[in-house]
Amino acid sequence: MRSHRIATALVALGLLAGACGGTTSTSAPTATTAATASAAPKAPVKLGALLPLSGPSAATGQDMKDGYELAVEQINAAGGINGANVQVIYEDDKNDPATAVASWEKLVNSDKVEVMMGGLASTISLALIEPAKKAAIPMAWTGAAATAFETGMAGQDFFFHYHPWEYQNATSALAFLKSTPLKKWAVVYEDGAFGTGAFNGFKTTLPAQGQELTIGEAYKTGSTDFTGLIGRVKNSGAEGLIVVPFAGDVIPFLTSLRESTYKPKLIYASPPSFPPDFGKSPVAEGVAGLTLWTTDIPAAASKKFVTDFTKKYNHAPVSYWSALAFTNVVTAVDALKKSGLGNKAGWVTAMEATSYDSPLGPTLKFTPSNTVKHQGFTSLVSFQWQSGKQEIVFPESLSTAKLK
Amino acid sequence: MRRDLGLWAIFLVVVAAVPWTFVGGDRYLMFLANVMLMFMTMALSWDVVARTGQLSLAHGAFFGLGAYSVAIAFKLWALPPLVGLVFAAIVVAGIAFALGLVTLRLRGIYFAIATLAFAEVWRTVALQIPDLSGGTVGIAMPPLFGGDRVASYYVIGAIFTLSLALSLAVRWSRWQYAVTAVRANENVARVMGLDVVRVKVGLFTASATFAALAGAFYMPFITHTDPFDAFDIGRSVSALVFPIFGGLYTSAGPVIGTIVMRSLEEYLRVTPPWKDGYQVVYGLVIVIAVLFLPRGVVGLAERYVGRLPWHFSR
Amino acid sequence: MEALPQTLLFGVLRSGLYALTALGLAISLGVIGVVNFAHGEFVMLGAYSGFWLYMLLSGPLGLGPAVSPLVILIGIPLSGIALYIVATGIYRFTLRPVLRQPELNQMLLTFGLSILIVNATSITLSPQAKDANLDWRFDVLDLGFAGVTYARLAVFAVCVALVLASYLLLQRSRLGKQMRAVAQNRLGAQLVGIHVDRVYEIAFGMSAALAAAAGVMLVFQTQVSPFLGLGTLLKAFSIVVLAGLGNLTGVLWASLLLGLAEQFVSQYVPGGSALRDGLFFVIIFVVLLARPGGLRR
Repeated sequence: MRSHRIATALVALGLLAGACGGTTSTSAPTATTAATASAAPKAPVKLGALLPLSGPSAATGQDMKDGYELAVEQINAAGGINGANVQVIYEDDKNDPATAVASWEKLVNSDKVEVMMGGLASTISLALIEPAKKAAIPMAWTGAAATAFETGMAGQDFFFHYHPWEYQNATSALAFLKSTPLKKWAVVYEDGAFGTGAFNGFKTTLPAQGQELTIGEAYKTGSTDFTGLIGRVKNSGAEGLIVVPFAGDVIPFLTSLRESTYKPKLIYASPPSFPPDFGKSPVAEGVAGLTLWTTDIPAAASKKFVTDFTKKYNHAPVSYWSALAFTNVVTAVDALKKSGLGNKAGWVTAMEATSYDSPLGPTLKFTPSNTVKHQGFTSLVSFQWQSGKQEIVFPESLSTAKLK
Repeated sequence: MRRDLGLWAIFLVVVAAVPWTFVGGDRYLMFLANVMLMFMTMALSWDVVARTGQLSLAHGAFFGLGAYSVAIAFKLWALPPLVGLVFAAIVVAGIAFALGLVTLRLRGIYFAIATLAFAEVWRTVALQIPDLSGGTVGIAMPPLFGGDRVASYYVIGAIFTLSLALSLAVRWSRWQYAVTAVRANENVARVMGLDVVRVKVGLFTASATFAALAGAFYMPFITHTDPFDAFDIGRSVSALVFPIFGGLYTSAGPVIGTIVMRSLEEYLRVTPPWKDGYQVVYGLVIVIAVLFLPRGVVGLAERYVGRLPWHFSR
Repeated sequence: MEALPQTLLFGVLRSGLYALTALGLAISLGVIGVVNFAHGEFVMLGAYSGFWLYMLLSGPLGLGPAVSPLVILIGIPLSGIALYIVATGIYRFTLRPVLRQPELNQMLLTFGLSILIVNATSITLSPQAKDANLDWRFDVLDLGFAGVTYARLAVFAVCVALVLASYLLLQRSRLGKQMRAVAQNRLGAQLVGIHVDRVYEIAFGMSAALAAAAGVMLVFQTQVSPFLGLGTLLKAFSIVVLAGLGNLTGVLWASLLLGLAEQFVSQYVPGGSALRDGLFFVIIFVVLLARPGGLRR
């Protein structure tokens, strides 16, 4: 019994060593930036990033981290900020508000970062409203689309928000829906903040532009079988089907649709990201959707970003979050270069003057949205899966193919 | 007992001195200290129920119900958070009393799963009544004492002290024999004339009240919650993991277990090189701890410092 | 009521996956009495093995339409054996030393294992969830009133086969009888000369092998991710307890009850799909209150 326990401890130690080995290999890019930092004469300029790096949201958190790291590498290769290297300190928020606030206080007060970035889930950002107002530190905030968060940060000078708000998502989707000949739409959505927020947008705006909302049905994410729900949608007489799912629900939903006798004329799905290799599945063809960015956007900055990213990580960017995070760091650091360190008001002025040809396609400028003073991206594009590729079909100015 | 009481008094003085000593105005550490007391309250309250042999998986739900009670009372009647605490305690005590009564006949794992089922339903309930609960967007309220975390520390400190008092009272009174008898063999205890219903339901209700108070503190402390956060199963799991790690059926065990595990996880989470794989290390530490510390941290302390003239674990 | 046959069919089929994930747990909980928090992780590892097999068979080997049946035929035995070995190792080196400790300690141990396995998987393999584009997930058998994917039928068939096989094993074989004896009375079993420790080890390995089988079949229904364990576990636990400890066929009945109830609610109640999880646990709660020992007698 005793010897077994000792053996277990040895195995455990081995595992631990393995885990640390894994750690060194994954943090290799950080190590190299740190090495160049020590060679540089000046102390590194610290930025803080709050991301989900463990748990189910970690995949998106990792996409964002990849984008940040690529930007940091390029900035430092080009001389950093007046010779000082840029360093991003990442904290795992575990998608838990209490952990997120703890990390916020650590980054702002202990690490004394110049700018705070990150934020993916709305639940995290909503818990940060009070600490953020108190600290009044420059925020180049990547994610969180909830309107409640926008209201919470209303009128704050130091707050710059990159991702479109949920009502802006809805506006972009609505413009596309209006361009189709279909009049009757059903909405199927996951019952968390993401899906419900989108549905609440459609509920009032679809009728306002003369289209009928026949039924709205919520479901629990992780369902493997949607046949009951689809039966209800069919009975509502909808011609087109709007789906607001999470990535994991996309294929189960579309297969359930195949099993049913309901054949909508168009499926418009807008998950935060489609599952990897979705294009290769037989259910992808013809599905339309909404996104901030695809790897095929015909803009020079986008092509360069995809090339650089693929070179560094040996795979193409998985979701638009990498491109958004990259833009996030580049613009926040540009403003720091202009304002100098520790100059909050100067940073805000410099950010307000931002005009950046972003990899996402449009030129990034900050303009007031409904309540916040500085909103970055405001519109999304609609695309359709055609022969395994995401072809942009709306707006026409950016389109790469026609809607089929 | 008197010696232990003295020791606990010293401990409480140390706890009270935390904001003025080593935390020294550090906002990060001050925040962690608040959260630490909150989890210590959860762990102590869970342990009290465990002493009767009832393995509760509903403490996370009591926490969430406490949080929502305060927020809804504020939204509807502008009830100040400190009054809200009392309101939440009353509401959840009522719910827990009813739950304790109907689950009285369930033993062991059947009780655990019934409490789990009870807990899991509330998320759906909160999502289905958006007018009251705020639905998926959740519910917000202004920060406690305008975000003064030293002041809030003393609020949760008071709640913690009360939960500690409950835990010690059960241990030092005749209840100690009652709970041990119920845990060892409920039928025998009943035959011996023990009022098993009173012991089980009474302690279950008292314990749930403290979990609710922890949640009722959390709400104005964090300022926002939603159904997925408030009714996170992870909190039920923490509430049982910390006492087991520290040492079950004692007052020191849940307290020490929480301090050790929370500090360890937080240290690993923010410190390179651990931070990239900190959860792996954390899991490993738990496994090793069970293998080598069968009676928790407190058991280890007793083994090596047992000769000291006090019994911290009692 | 034209949807009635469809609702019945899908309710029954839905219960297959429930029963399959609960089956292994029924054995470890029933025989050893250990609340294994890491059981969901065994399912997850099984799912990854199924996913790798799919990648191998469809990618480099390019077997086309044969991939789906092969993933089941090769995947279940292979990952079953692999997980059996892993689980007996875990049993020998971590569980056995603590078997005499209080039950709650064993629970804490398996909780630690669960965190360890989930996060080690997430770090080494990436936290990204992946879908296997298996043909059977998409190919639909037309039944006239509705269609049904081959995947759903396969999951159900495998489930019924494994439940029956486990049931026969427990009822008829010598090992099965030993297991039941140990489950009923550990000391008594020891007295009549049963090697209790060995029976435990085999039961734990078997439970993991069944979890692996469930994992392989999960690939036919949903995404593979390091985090799929917890949700699977909570529902599986509830089903096993609802059935009553040691009641294998009860697992089928409990799953059937839950599957049909969920399907009827999502078909006939407005917004019913959002009520699914709530309904699941309400049923568990109510049945347990009515029958404190589960469905068993």
